[in-house]
Amino acid sequence: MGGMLMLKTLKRNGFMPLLVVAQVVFALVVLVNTGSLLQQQMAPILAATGVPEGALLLTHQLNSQDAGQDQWSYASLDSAERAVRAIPGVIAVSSGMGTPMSVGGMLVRATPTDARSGRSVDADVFGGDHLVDTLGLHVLRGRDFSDSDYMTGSFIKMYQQTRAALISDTLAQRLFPDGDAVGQEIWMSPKPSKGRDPLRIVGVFSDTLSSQITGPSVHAVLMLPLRMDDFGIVSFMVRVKPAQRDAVMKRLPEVLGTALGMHNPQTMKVERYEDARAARLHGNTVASWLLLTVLGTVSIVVVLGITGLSGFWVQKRTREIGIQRALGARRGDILRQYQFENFLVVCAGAVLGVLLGLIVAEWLRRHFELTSPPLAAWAAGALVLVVFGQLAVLGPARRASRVPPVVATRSV
Amino acid sequence: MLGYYMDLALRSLRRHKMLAALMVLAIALGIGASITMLTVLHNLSGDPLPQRSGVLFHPQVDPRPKDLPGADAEPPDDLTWVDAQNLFHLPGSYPRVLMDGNWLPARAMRGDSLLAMQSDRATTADFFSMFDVPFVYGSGWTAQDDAQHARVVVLSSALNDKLFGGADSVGKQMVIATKTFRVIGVIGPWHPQPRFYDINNDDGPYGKAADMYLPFFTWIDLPQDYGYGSMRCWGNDANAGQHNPKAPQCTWAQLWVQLDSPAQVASYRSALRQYSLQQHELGRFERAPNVRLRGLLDWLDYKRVIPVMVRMQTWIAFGVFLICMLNTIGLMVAKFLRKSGEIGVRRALGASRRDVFAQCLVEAGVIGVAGGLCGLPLAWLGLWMVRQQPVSFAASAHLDLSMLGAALALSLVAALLAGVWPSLRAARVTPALQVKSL
Repeated sequence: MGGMLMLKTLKRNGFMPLLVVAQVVFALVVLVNTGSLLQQQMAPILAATGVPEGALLLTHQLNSQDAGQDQWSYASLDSAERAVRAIPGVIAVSSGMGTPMSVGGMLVRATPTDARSGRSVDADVFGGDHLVDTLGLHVLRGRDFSDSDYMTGSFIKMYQQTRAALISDTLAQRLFPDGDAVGQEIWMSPKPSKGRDPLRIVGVFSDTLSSQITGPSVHAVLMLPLRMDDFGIVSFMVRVKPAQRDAVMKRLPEVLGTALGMHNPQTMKVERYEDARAARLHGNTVASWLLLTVLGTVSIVVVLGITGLSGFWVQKRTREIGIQRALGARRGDILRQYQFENFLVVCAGAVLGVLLGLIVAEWLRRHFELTSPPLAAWAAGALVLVVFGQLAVLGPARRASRVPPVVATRSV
Repeated sequence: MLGYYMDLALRSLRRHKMLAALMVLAIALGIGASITMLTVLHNLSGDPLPQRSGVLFHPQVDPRPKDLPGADAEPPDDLTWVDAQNLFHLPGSYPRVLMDGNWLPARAMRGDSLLAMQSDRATTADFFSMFDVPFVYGSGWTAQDDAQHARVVVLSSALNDKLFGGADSVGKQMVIATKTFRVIGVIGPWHPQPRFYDINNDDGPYGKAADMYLPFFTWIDLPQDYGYGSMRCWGNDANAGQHNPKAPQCTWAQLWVQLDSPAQVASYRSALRQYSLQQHELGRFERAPNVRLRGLLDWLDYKRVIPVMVRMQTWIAFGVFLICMLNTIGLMVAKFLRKSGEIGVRRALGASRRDVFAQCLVEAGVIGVAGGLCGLPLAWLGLWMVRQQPVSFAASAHLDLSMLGAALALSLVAALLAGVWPSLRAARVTPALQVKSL
């Protein structure tokens, strides 16, 4: 009975509720889409690094041209590693390619594929000598590479001849959701290459950030047992005692550059892992702020808008409220009436908004191959807007409930 | 009359400061968000070469095997080494340019000049005239230089500054990939965006123009192994072309031709089909002729160069704008009805409905312009945030005069549109009722 009366009031003063409905519809579409973009941007920022805090140093990809050579041999890389290991405070050092926080150049992407099920996942490839230890990761299942797994050679040779691989926990779960990854065979591409044997997974290591941390697979990493020989571009990773990191950082260019025969060792860039990560995520951080600003703006505008419209509506209906009070309505009744009206209106908006949003998402998916936000996101968005609506109407509804019954006796 | 309404509008806004501020803020936020994204979109979807885009065409042929799994109907974007040579030497007098790009180690002859990787574009003689490249010093090379594999190079101003201190370096020598080259020209700033001529390169469609320009056939013979630009291979070995650009299953070279009339376009298209047919008969092409000859703008459209993220953000910005406008409508209705008494007096004193409507609309317009002016700094702030993103298109996000004008016009029009309904309602106020209740 009360509900019917309310609907009638809404219908008679159709304009204000209609504006609120329209605002809620568009706000929902914008909030949910912005939220899902924000979630994509934040994912790599929130992802765990998996490496020990304050203990890692990285060099940028060093170029053998700067040492006046076309390539570096395994022997020279090995002696450089030994020279670095002799610096006090250094625990482990590895040369490698496609290593964490690589920027362009020697970045290796592959599509490891389960040789039996054909399931494939995009992943970054780290290649190097005892990388698990140097990066401070742990082998969770299976074992680390053994000496017989390691291949010494140039890029193509190694890429074709390695038969063992380690994969990260996340990659293992995505490639082999039903069973243990250790001992399974994989291809490095979606289709098997002719004349090549598959690689065998010897172990699973704890998750760490991939090189392309801004991509969709933050924790999908595959490691190959490479001892680099005849490489023109090489990166070095050094794990140190945290207390001595800055001292090692200062000495590293001189020691490493001299050992590698570089002309200008002092120009070598050495970065703390955390700094390199922050630099790589700079764009995501900015984009997140941008999207958060949009979210905040829309929320504030919608709440203020609903407050303004409801306030005006209450003001217009002051006499009506007075009559209701005079006829016996309690203050709580008036308060609840306005809250319930607001609930109805916002719900109508939310339902229309979800419908519109799904249509828009489908259209975007067809035209731009965009993935649409999940249904749960729409439900959450609708809930948030209902809460916003209740918050916005609280002030006006209270004002309405304080209207004295005597207003009914005054003429307008 | 307009001046009087303006005065009334300002008075009315001053009286309800809070409400006026809210309306201006709503419009400002909407304008700020939408102008930010519109500017990015405007810069990204612009015509990279407005004077020439109508006559530049991008030919494609289809050398892929017949039963390639997962292959679509569209021919590859780029050409294989054999097709690149054949099509480049196709008879006809129209200008054409064959090219690719990568990074090569280069330095000046001076002893203290360090070897460093520089971006290059390997191209042919017509490149500079076809694409309107401005020269600061010297000039490009000739078709004869192309044929003779001459070791000449044209530098960007930036690289000329780095290697030769910005002086006229024409005639000076430098080392590129261990060979000695003679500098014959230095070009001025030239960065068509999007970089239409090579969209598939590593740094994407909004990458920078190269720093060194060398003759294509000289470049292919250099002792180099630094990758070959936008290399794409079919078949089992995706890396077949990594060290061998002449691999028959790999496409990487871009060809552009200049065709000045529809007749030339038609004749070139038939020549392209003829060539495909001939290759098909020779057994080199397994597929029946499958050629494309897209104009520059069609090509950009086909390649969908505008990043998906930008399209998304543009839609979101418009959503925000719409919400702000709805808000403004609501606030204006509230505001105009609040001064019903005042309107009643005006009507009683003889103002027509049209006068009241005009007065309210002027007030809406004033709010719109104020909102637009406040929105500009917000748009500037938004663009500053966009520029902080390390993506290749971010650097081009600047507010120019046309966008400034668009922002003000948009806010005025939006506010007037938002004002129509509230003003109509205000004009319907019945004078007698209002005056009675005063």
